[in-house]
Amino acid sequence: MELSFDRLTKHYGSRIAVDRVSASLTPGVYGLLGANGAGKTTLMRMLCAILEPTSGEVFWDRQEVTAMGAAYRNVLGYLPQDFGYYPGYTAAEFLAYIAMLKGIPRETAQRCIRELLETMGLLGAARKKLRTFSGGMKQRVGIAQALLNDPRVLILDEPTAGLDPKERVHLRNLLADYAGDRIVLLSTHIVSDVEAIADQVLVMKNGRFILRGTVPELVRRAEGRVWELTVPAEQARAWEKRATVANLRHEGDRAVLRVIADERPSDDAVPCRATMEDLYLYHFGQEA
Amino acid sequence: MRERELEARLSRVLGRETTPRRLDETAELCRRIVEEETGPAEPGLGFWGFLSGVFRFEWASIGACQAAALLLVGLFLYGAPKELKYIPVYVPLFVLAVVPVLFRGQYCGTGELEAATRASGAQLALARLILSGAANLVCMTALLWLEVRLTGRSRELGRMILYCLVPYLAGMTLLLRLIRGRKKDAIGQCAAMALGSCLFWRASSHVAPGLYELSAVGVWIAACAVFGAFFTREICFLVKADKEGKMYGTVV
Repeated sequence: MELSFDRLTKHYGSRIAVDRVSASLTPGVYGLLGANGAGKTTLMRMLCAILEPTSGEVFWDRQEVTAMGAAYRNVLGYLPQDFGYYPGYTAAEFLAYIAMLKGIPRETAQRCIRELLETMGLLGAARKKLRTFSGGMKQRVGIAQALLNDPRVLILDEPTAGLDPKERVHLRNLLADYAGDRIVLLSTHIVSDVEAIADQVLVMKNGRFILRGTVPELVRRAEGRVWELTVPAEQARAWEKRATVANLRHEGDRAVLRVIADERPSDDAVPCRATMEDLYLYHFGQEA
Repeated sequence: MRERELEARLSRVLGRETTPRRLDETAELCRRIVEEETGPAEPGLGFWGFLSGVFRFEWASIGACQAAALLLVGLFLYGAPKELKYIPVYVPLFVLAVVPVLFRGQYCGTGELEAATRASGAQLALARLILSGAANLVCMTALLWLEVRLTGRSRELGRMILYCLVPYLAGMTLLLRLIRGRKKDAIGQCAAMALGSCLFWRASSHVAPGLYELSAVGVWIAACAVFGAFFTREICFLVKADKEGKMYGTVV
């Protein structure tokens, strides 16, 4: 089981959204990290074959996905970043509608819908109209629809957006369980989500993969670039302007800063252990 | 002694790089074995099953749009002069009633989600078009029945049918062409086209009243054939996109 893409490129006029990215994904959880506009959503849409690449190809088990058509979409589950819903439908009706589009026979669909609503903690709200749902509940319905056909490839664009911490942990555990023999690709801004479940992380910037590897491998790259220093509280603002400050904590009239820099930022700065968030800020700190 | 010999042989074999000669064949064999182990895929819905599924979920919205158009047309018919030349003015309203159905996914933001399912965007558009077309036929039959009752000119039913078909085929052809063009503001353009058609046919009844004489029936038959051909061509594009599993219209 392999989802691969080769020199995948997407131009919007003169703007390059995705620039010759290639990778081969085998079963496991892949985290796609990047700032807004890095090209994550465009890449995911091309992987779902709903956006035509300017050049490059996507392969599922060595077969080109657009040529596979419905056969590829049969193994695909997708949660778009900003998905809509038909406000007049209940959660159960909406899932039944998507199940119909996925070609799932009615009896099988009813069983799957019940199971998924239960897994997502929505069984009690199954008969409620979607327009009455909170953001988190809608997001859970979105995740449920992606899982309806028991997909081999699950592509989730910002799945944890709008979920509270408890729901996020629940979803993370669900995905970690689910990924066993499947390919799960998720994009998120929440670095801790990627850190918790991703087997491999792909970091995108300006339409290209700038880093890829396991979480420990990537964290190692940030080692030696994270420093902690204590400064008078009034100097904290100045430090924030001149360096990437990952964290700021006040202790009386002093401020403890976590600074990300290639060189020791001051003589009294002490090196400390890096995290994925530090790595993210190292690459995207200036953009933020 | 034998162990050493075995070790030497193994290291010779393992140390040698091999180039797989039957890689594709082996990959195909593995794929077949996995498929056999996991069992055959559950049969999906055929097109007619899919169509009935779409009907199950969309009949209310399709029916509501067409009923609203029919009600509007009925009100116009009672209020307006009872002349056949006004029939083409009302027909684009039925085309307008198709717009919310065809653009439902785009309007509600479910287009991207629907496009990533087994049913391609084109298949869903085709199913919605067939169901809307069927509803259009029912509504236009009702329009003709009303017209016959109000004017009492049942002998001129043939002309009435032509006055319905030509604006309908022209409107639907333009609608499908606009969708196929994947313009960002296609919803607005389609709605404007349908309303513009109403004005065009209204103007034509004033500017060229001769067009609605019995002697001009040939022109209407020719127009019906021309727009019928263009409409068929648009349907062929849609069916082709469906067969190739492609998108139809704007999805993202």
